[in-house]
Amino acid sequence: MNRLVDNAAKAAAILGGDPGAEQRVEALVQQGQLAMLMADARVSKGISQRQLAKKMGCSASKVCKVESAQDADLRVGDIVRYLSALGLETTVGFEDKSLPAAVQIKRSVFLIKDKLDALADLAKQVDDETVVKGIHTFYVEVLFNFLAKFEDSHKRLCSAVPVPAEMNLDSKARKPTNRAVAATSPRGRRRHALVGA
Amino acid sequence: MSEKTKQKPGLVCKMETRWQINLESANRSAFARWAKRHQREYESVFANLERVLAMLNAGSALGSFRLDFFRSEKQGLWRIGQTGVSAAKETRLYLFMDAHARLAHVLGIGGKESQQRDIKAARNIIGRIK
Repeated sequence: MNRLVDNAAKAAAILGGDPGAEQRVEALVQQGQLAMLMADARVSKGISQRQLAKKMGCSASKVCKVESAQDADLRVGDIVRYLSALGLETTVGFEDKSLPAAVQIKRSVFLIKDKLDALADLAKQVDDETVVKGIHTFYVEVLFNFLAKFEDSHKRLCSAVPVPAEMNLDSKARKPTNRAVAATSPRGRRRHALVGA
Repeated sequence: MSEKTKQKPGLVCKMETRWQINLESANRSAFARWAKRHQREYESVFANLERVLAMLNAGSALGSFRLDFFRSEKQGLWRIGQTGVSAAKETRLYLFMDAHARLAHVLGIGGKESQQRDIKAARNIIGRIK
């Protein structure tokens, strides 16, 4: 028998003599994920349950109850108050899992663009040269990180499925197609904006 | 030594090991019996153990936080109860939490009616571990 294990789901499976228990315990842990994330945020800010309770204007046992709760039992008001007392903003996101992966990725790209635009607008109001320089550096950093992650992911794709011959970037330089030329012309760009890439 | 400290000029980087669970002191047949008779409660106490370990791995010190299902029985003995199980059989998972070695020793499992006996047995095991 394994003497040491690194998670409770494995321990449950070993001690109970039921390998299926591991998956079921993991599923139960997932049901308390939000409360765990919230507690994690509190701990990473170095705030105790008592201090947070004071900020929230409630008792420490209320904080304890929130952190012990299953996600389904959490109240939205409690989540907002808890996070706001930690100085965190609550945003609600919905992810339509029935949407194709390509649409989900496009949405994420647009979301990043919106955030970058907001940062650019903020930079306009900044008077400090060092901060402005920092924002410019950050933009370069974002591009670098994106390219690095993209390359990583693209390699993964190429190793999983063969690249179609006409899309192989390593093959000799290809003449741009008429469609590609049209897409870069002002008229073509307008068309692309209307019908999507 | 459970904590490794790497030092570079001007930078101190403290790396803490993750908590692990030691099953050596647990009576397997008692656990298997409880798992068979009270499956939902059995799985719930282990899910709650995972949540406790997540708090500890995130950086909370043992005893510095409270969770509804996690109680100290003094002298290093802790118990974890079940949550979210309707019409549940009250279940307690007994542990010896060794903060220095970052080890959670699983000692026993039982119900409310056997609490005194279970605590006594768990304390005996802790005596042997120490």
